Amino acid sequence: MLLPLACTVIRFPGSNREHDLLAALQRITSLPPTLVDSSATAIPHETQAILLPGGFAWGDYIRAGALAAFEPIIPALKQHAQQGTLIVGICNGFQILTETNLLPGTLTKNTSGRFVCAWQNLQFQSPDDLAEQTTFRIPVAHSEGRYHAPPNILRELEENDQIFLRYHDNPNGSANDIAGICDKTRRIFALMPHPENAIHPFHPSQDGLLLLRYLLENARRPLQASQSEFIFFQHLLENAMQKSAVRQA
Amino acid sequence: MTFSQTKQAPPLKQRQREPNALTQGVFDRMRSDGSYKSPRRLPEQRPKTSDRTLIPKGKNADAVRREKNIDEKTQARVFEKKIHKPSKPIPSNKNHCTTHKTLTPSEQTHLRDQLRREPNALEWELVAAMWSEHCSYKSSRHLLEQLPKTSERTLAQTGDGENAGAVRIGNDAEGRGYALVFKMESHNHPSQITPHEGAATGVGGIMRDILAMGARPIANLNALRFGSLENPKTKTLLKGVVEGIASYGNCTGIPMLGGECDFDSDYDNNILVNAMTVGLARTENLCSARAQGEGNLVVYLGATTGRDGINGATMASQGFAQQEGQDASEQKTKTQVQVGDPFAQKRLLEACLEAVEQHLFEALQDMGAAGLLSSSSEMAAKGKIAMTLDLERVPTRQPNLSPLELMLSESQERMLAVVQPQHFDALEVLFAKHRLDCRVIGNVGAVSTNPLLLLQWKGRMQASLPVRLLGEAPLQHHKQAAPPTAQPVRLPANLPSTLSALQKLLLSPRLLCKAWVTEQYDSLVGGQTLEGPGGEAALLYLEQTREILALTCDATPRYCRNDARRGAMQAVCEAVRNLSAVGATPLAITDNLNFGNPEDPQVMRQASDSVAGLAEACRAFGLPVVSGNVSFYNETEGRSIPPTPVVGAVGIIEANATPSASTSASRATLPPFARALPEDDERLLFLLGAPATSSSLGASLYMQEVVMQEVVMQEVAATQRGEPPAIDIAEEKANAAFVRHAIARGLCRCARDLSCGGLLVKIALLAMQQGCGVRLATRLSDRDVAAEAAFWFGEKQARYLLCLTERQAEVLTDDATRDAIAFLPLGELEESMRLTLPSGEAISLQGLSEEWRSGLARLVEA
Repeated sequence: MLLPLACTVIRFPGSNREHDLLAALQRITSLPPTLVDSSATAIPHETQAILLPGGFAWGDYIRAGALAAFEPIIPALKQHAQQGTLIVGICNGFQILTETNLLPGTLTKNTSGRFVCAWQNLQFQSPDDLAEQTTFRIPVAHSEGRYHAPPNILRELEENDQIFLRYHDNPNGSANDIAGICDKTRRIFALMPHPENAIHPFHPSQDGLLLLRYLLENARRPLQASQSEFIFFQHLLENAMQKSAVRQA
Repeated sequence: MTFSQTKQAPPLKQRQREPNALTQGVFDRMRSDGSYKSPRRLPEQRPKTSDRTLIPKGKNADAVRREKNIDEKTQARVFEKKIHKPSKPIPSNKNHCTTHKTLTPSEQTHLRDQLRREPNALEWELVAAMWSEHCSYKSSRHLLEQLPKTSERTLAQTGDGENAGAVRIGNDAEGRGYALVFKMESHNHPSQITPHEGAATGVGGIMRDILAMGARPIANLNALRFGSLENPKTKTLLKGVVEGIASYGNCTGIPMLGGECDFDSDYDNNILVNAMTVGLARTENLCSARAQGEGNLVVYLGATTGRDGINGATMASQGFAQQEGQDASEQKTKTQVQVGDPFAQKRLLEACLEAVEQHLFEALQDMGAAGLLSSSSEMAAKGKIAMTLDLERVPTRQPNLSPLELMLSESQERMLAVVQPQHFDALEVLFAKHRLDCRVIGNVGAVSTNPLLLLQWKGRMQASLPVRLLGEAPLQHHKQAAPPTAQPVRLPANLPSTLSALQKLLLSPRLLCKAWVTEQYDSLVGGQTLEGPGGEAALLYLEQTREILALTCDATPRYCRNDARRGAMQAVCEAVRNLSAVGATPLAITDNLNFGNPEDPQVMRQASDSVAGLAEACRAFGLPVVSGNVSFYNETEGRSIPPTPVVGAVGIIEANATPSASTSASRATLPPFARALPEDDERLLFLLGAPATSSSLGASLYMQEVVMQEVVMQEVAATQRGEPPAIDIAEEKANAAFVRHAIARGLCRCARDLSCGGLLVKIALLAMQQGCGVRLATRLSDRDVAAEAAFWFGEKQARYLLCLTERQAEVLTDDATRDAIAFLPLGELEESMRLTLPSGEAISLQGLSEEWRSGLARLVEA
């Protein structure tokens, strides 16, 4: 059964898996997904889920996602985050979400120092134990996928069940085998593996469809008042910090 | 008046009355055939001096200096008498100005004769670059004429001056035809000097060749050859090259689907990096390199021009280090290697493809070797049309580039297009969106029999050269030595046991699992990959035409070293087998011929034999060689690489007759194909093709890795020169057709071709990849040690290994008997990770498999 969900995929200059993601969404949602360029300043108002695809936004110069965080679309993205729209970042999308401070921590060079493209077994942790399937076989393809965060953040992530996806066989040296995290409100999800590359019957596995579906279903869950207040204050604080940083500069 | 406002190219006379910024002073001197004449002004009309004149005409310069007390260092530009004679350019970096020395005396005479005047310094350099081996193919052009280049599917081929070959494939649901565009190109010299940048720009360059045809690149492959892994330099080169390919290919979002990676001490000082890209285009969108339409604009697209890669083409047309030692020579040539920016390439790709979709280009060409010079002159030559370029308009990233540097710079991510004036505005907007330069740098002149390339700089004509002359370097017929005579194999008496030989082979660097390499490549982006690196051929689903594309590249230098002709034929046969093993029909071939110094008669003999072998095999299979590349001068200190003709082949598995209505492709809607690994019920192993005999051990991997290492060296020296296995094209064709037919009927879903290492090696590899064991039960008629070694390790051609279910095996055994094709049951796969020989001897595959998987990483990281 297809989800009646209006999805928007944001394409950054250098994104390269946006079409893979659109193809996956077409198999999950009943409404056709929209593709928006990051040079736009607005995201369609009716959007229920925003997805950031994999790739090399701005060539991953400086750091993966570092330049993409200054694209014109980012304020609109943050505003949607504030309103509680579901956001899913995949690979480069994850890197962009940490660079825009919508998620904590950072993604850095794999311990091997090399790009890695390989199929991985992943453990899905759903807080409400609703998921029927909890192990997924989905590929990774990245060179900066090692999740890193200070110990207190990692502890917080663990305590709040924010780590929703872990590697069985850690390919990049990620802290706590982290493959995907979400924010406290469970509205912003990000993962390094590529579920959009495990969707066709001719792929070694079709688990990507199920995983993406689990993530997108969160869009339909009502946002609790406390959660939305939390998001609101978080962004107030962040904007204030950014402004002061600009002033100092 | 700017070009963008010009709606229609005005006729020549009108333009003379109304010169625009670019053509000022050029068109009024230009004749209709593209040549131009000197302006005829009366002497008294000419101004004699200006406020900047230091030395008036007709005065002795030294006398004036003394008289006016002008400092010697004050730069004065001495104007020449005749304006129609292009003036002497001022190169800003004299080091770059050395190429014309590479022209032979006879070439210099030829140039003077053709021009009927003495070329100026800039013209010398330009001609030298275009006449370098790398650009002109002057030593190989006459050889390549023997290759078959067309079939009924061919739409374009590089022999016609196009950027890549194109073959027709199926139609989409709306009935629009599609074409596959592909080519393979070497970047050997740059990769040897700076492995990361050299390999990355190699990948970028070949991608732009495909883009220039108006096709979207959809797959990359590469054939890499390194020196022995015991050589510490090899590790650095391997790491750099793989990282370079990965960084560029992954960023541009084109799946890297595999290829080859081989190690041999023959390549210690000259590694080979051959990159292949395959693109997909709608037939109506295919672009040409043919410049056309007088008055059309020559538009520069993409990144800016810098001083990188100047004389790269000339560098690649020489060997390394004759006297000074390789490292010093490599250091010296480092500035001749370009630096790539994959992000710029990605933008260029998207921008150009959008423009192609809107049909904005009249002609399109990438700027590769010899940069702007070769792209402009080739486009003009193909259209038989004159071209004027104003070099000051070229977007630069560094100040003070001289005309020579502007013409020869091999800065990456640049394209040259011919555009109708009314389309320029749309193009500019499109490229601005992708934040790329799009600038008019010249225009197209009239069609003529001997059109000229005119270069303007600072308002003066700097060079005027016939494009045909630039493109046609005088052929060089190098001497060829007599063909070497390969000797039949002589096996020593004390051969090692089958299992220890197997272990030795599996753990040799050339057979070790290449995951360390291939995992660095993104083989999944695009989401259409059916089979990535590691199988016989890579498989990609083509959504548009509902076909499956199969890709492979092959070469066996081991064979070519001993018999170049047979080696080249074998490469074609192996490519055909790889494609057949997945169920694909081979369509066409691209080749990348790597040789040593063509001035060495032996190398020239190898080159000539290789091309002859290639031509013979391709003719026999009916495969056109639609594109290709020749790389000579792969030599260091006089030592050449063995002849390495790499064959890249594309095949297609045609769509099911009745396309399913569902939007998604399921296995049922996909046309039938075979994978590299069997399903659980496909347990029976069969050998298709005759068992190998001792003659097929010649030049085999067994000879090189086992016999050479273990047996007394003296005895082996002769055996190493064994003849490569015989080629029987009729047998190849029959067996390939049998396999394809079986796969098409669903009677086989896992097939492997047999080549490097022989039968037992392929069986062991299959078991290790699958994570299972195998029990072999073939009864060998002859218990002789040599015969046994030949049976398991002989590299007899035209053979396949099939994994079948019992039902499939029954049907195929009957079919094979009917077709009189040898079909031999070998044994079956089993759960426990052991390999058991018919004699009962066995080894555990558990530990071996671990070692095999991690072996390469251990060797490289050590």
